[in-house]
Amino acid sequence: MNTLFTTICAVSLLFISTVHVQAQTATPSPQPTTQTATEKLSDQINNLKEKIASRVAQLKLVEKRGLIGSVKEVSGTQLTVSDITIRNRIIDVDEITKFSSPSAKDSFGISDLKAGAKVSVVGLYNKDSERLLARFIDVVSVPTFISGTISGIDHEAFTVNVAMEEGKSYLVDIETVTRTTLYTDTTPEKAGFSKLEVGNRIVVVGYPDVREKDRMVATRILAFPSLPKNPNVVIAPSAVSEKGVSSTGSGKKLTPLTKPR
Amino acid sequence: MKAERIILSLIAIFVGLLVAGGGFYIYQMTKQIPQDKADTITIKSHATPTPRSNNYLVVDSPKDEAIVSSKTITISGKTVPKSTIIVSTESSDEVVEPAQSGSFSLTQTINDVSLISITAVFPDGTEQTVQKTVSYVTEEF
Repeated sequence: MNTLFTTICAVSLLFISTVHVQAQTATPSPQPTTQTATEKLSDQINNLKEKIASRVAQLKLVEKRGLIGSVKEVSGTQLTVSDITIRNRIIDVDEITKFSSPSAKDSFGISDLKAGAKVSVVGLYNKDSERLLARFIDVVSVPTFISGTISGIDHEAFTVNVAMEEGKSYLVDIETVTRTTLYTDTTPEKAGFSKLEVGNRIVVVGYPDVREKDRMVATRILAFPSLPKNPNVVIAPSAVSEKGVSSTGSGKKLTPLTKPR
Repeated sequence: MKAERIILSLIAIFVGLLVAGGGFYIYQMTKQIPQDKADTITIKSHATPTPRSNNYLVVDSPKDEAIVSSKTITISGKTVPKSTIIVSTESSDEVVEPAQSGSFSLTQTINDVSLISITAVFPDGTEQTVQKTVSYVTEEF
């Protein structure tokens, strides 16, 4: 009997281990409280918590933003605008949205906006719905920036052909208002039309010709003759052309865009 | 006597379980699966990465579609060292070279609503352009 008891004890000791767990802090002893007062306070705290959480979520969800784009569609209190990345954006308009246009003589509103108009929209962007609640909508005129290589110069018509990446090309009109700057390094040097050469790398800032696609009127030209040629711009030998005689560099007189071509 | 029986039964069960477990373990270790019945499972640790170009232009500031309360803004970012950075707005241009680390920073004055074009011309002649829209608004809304 004794042997059996000893064996059982030995086997039990092998498989049984005791772990003592102690609380980090002493369990608070219950304090006498008025049940109704505690419940009321708890409700108030919970309500406040919910309100704060809701407001924080709202603040995180909505942010101020401003975009530029072309109006694609106007319907009721909603605009569809194609932004600079050619992405369609939904703009909501309400009674406090302010509209303006430099060409408008009287009041200007959503009904005056036409498809194709360039607008700047400032408002509250909802990250969840990805919609912008407009506060200010202004009709604007924004420049176009192009970067490429001169593939042709017409000294008579005062135009420059600019070849760009992906086979695109632009015909750029040089006007008397066009400011040309030459950069041999990072220092600007005032130049004229005559300083431009085929093969020069240029950046053109201007406004598109409303009558002709891929044609623009330059307000500024930045030429970089010392920068390496862009291997992604391929100029066909047939496209290279240089017509007329070099100008004095002052450019031609300002001509309207409606001139016969 | 009754307690002794119960205890002995428990010990017998325990010993039986140990023996059965040991037997099962030995069986599993020595078991051989024929090659034709074996399925191969391949776990890819990572998706195949898209090859990245060595040329890059990252503009940290300003954020696109940002609303600012000052007409003078800082344009900063990072690109390939020895590149040329051309920054153009509606009214002015700026040409800078990044630091040796490739980082660049400059200030520009903007109009009420400005489209900012930032072009990096890399040493190999290729280029990358980033455009940002920035609006100057002082009214609360």
